[in-house]
Amino acid sequence: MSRLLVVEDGGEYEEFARLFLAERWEIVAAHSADEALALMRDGAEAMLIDLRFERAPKEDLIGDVKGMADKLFAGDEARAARWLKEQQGTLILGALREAGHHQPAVFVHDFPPRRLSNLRKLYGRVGAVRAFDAAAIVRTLEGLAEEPV
Amino acid sequence: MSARAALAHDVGKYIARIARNVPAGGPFPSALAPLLAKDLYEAPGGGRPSARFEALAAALPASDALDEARAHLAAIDALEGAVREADPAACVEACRRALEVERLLRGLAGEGA
Repeated sequence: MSRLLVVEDGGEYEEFARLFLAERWEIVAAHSADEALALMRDGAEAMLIDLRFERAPKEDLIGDVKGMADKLFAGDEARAARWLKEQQGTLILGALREAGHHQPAVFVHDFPPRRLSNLRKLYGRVGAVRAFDAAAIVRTLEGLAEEPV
Repeated sequence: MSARAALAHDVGKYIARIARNVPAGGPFPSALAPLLAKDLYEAPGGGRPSARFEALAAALPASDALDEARAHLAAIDALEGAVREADPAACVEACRRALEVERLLRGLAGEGA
């Protein structure tokens, strides 16, 4: 059975995936970019990624706090750190793409259309569903799988 | 993140996680009751969803949507004992209300976007 990589800071996505998606995929779960990259060495067919990593320890986060503070927040590192937590899922997806993992990825988030379009420009086969809806997640990932890399 | 968006995310999204995926028709699967209870009474990051709702809603002007969501959350809290005992009717009712909370808070977030 092919694998679905779940990436999140807590345990809610994994629990959900094991309950409602395990008939379709073997579920493997990571809680940081490093863990996700390590698991992807053994491959996965698709990815289910949490956007916000508010519960993640600072040392597990990727992203340049200082650089982001200078670029977007007039040097305010606290705001930059908060932003990195709120966007951590996209940063992890970026790291996975950079490492050559271009599998379909889906977020459970109500992205504005323009934001999703920008994510697709940056990261290719990316989708979003508005709620924890197992059928919609399967449909979205299967649809993305049909798209060219 | 605005208070409206945080309500939709922290309360609406997670409270409906199991509720949205309960198989349609037939009795409520008792194996899902503990996970439903977790969604309804334990918000990610700690506390109850109803308490998280109140904390976030305090920053917003009163509205019908907030009042409706508050009423659903109060009803969900009142069902806690029965949900934790996996009473099928209570679980179905709590699911219905959880989906309403999600819908209302998503709508509120959309208004503020």
